[in-house]
Amino acid sequence: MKMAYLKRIICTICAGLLVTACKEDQSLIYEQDARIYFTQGLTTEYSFTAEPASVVTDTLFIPMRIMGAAVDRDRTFNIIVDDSSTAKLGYHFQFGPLVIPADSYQLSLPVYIYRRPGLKDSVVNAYLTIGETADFKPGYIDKAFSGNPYNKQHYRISLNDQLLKPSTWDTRWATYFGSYSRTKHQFINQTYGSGAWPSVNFPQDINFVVQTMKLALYNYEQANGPLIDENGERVVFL
Amino acid sequence: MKADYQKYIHALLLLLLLVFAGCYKDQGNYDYKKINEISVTDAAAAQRIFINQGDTLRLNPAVSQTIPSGDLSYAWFMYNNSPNSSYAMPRDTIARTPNLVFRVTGDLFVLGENYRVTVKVTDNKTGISAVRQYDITVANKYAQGWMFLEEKGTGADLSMILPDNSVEHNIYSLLNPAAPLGKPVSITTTRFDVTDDLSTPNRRIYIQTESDAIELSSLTLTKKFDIGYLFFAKPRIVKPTYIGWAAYISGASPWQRMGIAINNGQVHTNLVGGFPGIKKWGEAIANPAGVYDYDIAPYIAGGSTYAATYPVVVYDKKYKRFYSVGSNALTAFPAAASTIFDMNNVGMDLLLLDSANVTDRYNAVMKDGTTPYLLQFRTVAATDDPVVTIAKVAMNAPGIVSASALASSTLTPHIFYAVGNKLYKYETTSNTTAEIFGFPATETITRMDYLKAVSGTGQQRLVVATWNGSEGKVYFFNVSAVGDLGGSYTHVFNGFNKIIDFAYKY
Repeated sequence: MKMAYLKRIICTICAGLLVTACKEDQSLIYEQDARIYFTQGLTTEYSFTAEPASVVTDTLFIPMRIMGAAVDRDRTFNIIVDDSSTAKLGYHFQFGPLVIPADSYQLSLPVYIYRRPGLKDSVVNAYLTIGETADFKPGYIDKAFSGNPYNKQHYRISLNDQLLKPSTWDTRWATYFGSYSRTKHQFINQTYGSGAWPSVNFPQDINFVVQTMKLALYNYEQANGPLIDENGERVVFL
Repeated sequence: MKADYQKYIHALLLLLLLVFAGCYKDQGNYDYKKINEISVTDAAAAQRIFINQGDTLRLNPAVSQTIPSGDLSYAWFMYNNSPNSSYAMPRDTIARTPNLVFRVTGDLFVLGENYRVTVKVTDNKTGISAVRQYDITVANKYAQGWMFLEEKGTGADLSMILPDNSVEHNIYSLLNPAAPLGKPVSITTTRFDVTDDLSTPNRRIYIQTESDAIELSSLTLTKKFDIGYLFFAKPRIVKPTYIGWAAYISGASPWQRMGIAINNGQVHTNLVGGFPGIKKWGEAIANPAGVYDYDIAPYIAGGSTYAATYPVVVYDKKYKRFYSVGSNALTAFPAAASTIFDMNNVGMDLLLLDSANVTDRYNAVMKDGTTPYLLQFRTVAATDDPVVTIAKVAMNAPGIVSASALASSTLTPHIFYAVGNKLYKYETTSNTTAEIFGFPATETITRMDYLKAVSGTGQQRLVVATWNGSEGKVYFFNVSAVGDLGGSYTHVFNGFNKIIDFAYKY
């Protein structure tokens, strides 16, 4: 009994000494496997309607980053096109080289997209997931909740060649642009140079879009007369 | 069993011995020697030292020693100590002499920033040091004062009259040797910060020339941006006459309301507020008819309250009418706004649009052929009192239709105007005019402005710029509370080029 008691005292003292023992702090350096992820997991929606008919291909860029140190050789990574994708690799889109160049930490991966006839009447999606290679494992996931499936391991590219009424038309743009028509939408896309304007949301940026459209419509009318939409109505902005 | 027990007892005793040994009192008997104690004093270190760039910082601290030693070393070092500077700002050693004689230049001392300069005196024999710290602020010589935009050769330059009435010429070319100005058109300043997120919120200064418009840093007076950067899309025809900010009064201070740029006669707007994103000037906006062929005069009238009915009002020289400016369109005034004259159809040529002596009331001096008219209107109306037109008077003001400069008093019911070398004062209440001053016959008045309150003194002042064909001059007249100029000017400043425009830099 006494024996066990003493043993415990001595063990406690020794444990105390061990715990307080000093050890040099190691600097925090990532020493695990090299990994790769999408800098921002999200959806890129692209509509060919903003381009003249002569444009049959375009390039999107997906920013990517690696985890771990850069090395002095090119390394390959993999992106898996999920089975649920309606966009076909090689037909609707094609990746640039899946290579992280030597001594690089990041890459803007070019994705070549093609204007195919089917895009006129359907929207196709490519669901992308980081795959594994000998060089890179999938990187970290920033948001693990179901509300945003496009975290840093997932990405969606959505392609179409048809005018879809933007979801922000009624809430944001109807005040400036009035009632929706496809002709009006097409005119705005072509003036703005892309279909990206519906997501503009700061007041002075919105003003600039509105001012640009009004001036463009004025100049159009000076040259061609009124722009008439698919319903036979003259296109006007408020 | 017993042997084990003893082993543990011994181990425990050994530990106890170590613990008690740790408490052993030190019986040290050392030999203390007096050393040289140094102290550094300087009365100049008691308060912050303000110094201009280009000037020499001279500091002469007194070093006292208890056992004087000839073997002292000195080090002067400094670091940025501004409220928003980081803790990791570099420290620079600037001298190793007993006294500091150091020219303050922009590479080490940034304008407007605070620095702490430390002198460290070390006795090399003992290694003991003493320090004295000085707080330095790099002051801005050009922080405030009148800025004059002058025509110089084929370009332009700036002069300033500083609050102590000293004059600095050729400021722009001195500070911006690589970015010469074109033929000058106008200069505008704000007396409030603008949060356009193009750069740190600060007062804005814009200079318009025949082919460009630039923003000057209000701190360093160096060129920051050209018109291509100030606008989201550079206008196809660059011909700016005005870039500035309308304000409203909140409490006692003016606050940014809306940016107005007038380029090639067209209005461009800029909207700032608490929202993110970079704000620049947008595209030209259309007039109420939806067309862009109007031609706006380089004046704006504004409302003093945030809720003002017409926050910004401009005049169209082509259609000879007023517009209210919205973010995305020029709008007409409602029919109920006009009784004495029609805001939407004035039909006359504008000579001056300026604040009157009543808040939210504006004087518009017009000419209809050779007949001058004073139109007065207000920018604040109410639903049950929608009329904005106040007066239309055929002015009894000889020569005003050919006036070379006009300025409206914002304190008394007067409009000052210049014909040739003569200065006249028109009284809006009595519709009478008096000649109040004659400059030398060789001088013609090119520009004038009225300041309601000179900074620091509150004095009302009329500033008049003249040109005699080879030299520009500036005259200050103190204006009394009832609008009298007192017979003559109080100051005259020589050596200017031809003054095109001027503004007060706050």
